[in-house]
Amino acid sequence: MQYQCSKKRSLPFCWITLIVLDAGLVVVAMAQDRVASPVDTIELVIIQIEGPANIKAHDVRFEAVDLIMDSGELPLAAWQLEIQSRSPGVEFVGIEGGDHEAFENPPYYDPQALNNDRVILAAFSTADELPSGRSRIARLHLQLEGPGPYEFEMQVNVTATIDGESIPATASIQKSTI
Amino acid sequence: MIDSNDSQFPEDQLAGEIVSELRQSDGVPFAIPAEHTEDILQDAHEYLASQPVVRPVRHWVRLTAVVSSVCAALLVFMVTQVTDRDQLTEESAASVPDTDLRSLYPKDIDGNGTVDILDAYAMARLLESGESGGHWDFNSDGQLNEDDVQLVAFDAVML
Repeated sequence: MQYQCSKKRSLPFCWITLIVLDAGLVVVAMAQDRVASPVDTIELVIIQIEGPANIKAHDVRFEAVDLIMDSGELPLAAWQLEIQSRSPGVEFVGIEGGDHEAFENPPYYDPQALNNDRVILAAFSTADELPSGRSRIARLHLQLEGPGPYEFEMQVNVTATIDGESIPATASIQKSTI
Repeated sequence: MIDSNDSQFPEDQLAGEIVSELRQSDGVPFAIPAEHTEDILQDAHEYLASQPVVRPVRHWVRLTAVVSSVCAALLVFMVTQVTDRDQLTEESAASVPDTDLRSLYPKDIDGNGTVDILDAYAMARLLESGESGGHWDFNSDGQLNEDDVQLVAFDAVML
C-alpha cells in the first residue's frame, strides 16, 4: 500500500476573495481615471513641411502655415496645443486667428514665443456658433533659414466642446495657400 | 498506531534488539526485516489517515497575500483620491470653497492639477452666467471680470 499525497492545490476562500477584490478595485480605478482624464486628446504629431531646395544655406525667407483642427461632428469650444520646431533656423514671428468667427482673434500665446522655436497656443469661445469638422484655427508666420523641408512636433493638450467636456480631435499643420 | 501489547512486536524487545545491532554493526549496513517494514508502513498510513490534513502554507501563497494586501491598500487610496478629484471637478465652481489645492494652484479652476485653457473657459462661462466668483479676482480689482479670465488664459500658455 502506498500513501497518496493530495495533489489538490486549492487557494483558501479568503485569498480568492482578496484577489477578486483587487481585480475589482483595479477595474474601478481604471474606469474612473478614464472618465476623468483628458488623456484621449493628448497626442504627439510630427509634421513635415516642404521647402525650396534651390536657395543658399543662409538665405532667409518668410512663410505662413495654417493650423487645422478637426473635431468631427462636435462643436469645438476650446483648444490648447504646443508646437516645437524640430529643424534649425525656424522661428515664429507672427500669430493670427482662424477662419471661423468664434476663433477669428489670435489665440493666447506667450510673447516670448515670438522669435523662438516653441509656442503654446490656446483659445476658447463662448459663442453660440462654434466650428465643427475641419477648420483653420490659427495661422503661424515663420522665419526660415536655409533650404529644404522643415519639421514641427505638435502636441494637442486640450480639445473641448460646449460645457468644457473633453472631445477627441486631430490637429495638423499645412502650408498656407494665401 | 503501534500497539505495545502486540505479542508479535514487544516494544522493549524490538527496541533493544535494534539498538544492540546498531551498536554492534559499527558502520555495517543494517537491514530491517521486510515484515517489520510493512507493519511500520501500515501503522504510519493508519496514523496519517487519522490526522487532519494540514496543507503547508507555501511561500508563494504568503507572497501573494502580502502583495495583494499592499495592492488593495494602494488601490483604495487611489480610488479615494480619484473620487475626491471628480467631486471637486463636478461641483459648481462658485460653491467650491478654498482648499489646499486651490491655495497651491489658485488658477486651476477645475482642479485637474494643471492650469490650461479650460480653466479660463470655465471662468468665462461663469462670468457670462452672471454668477459671482469673488475668490477668483486674480487682479484684486474687487470683481471677477474679463481681465481675470485673461490672466488665467495667459498663465496657461506661458513658456
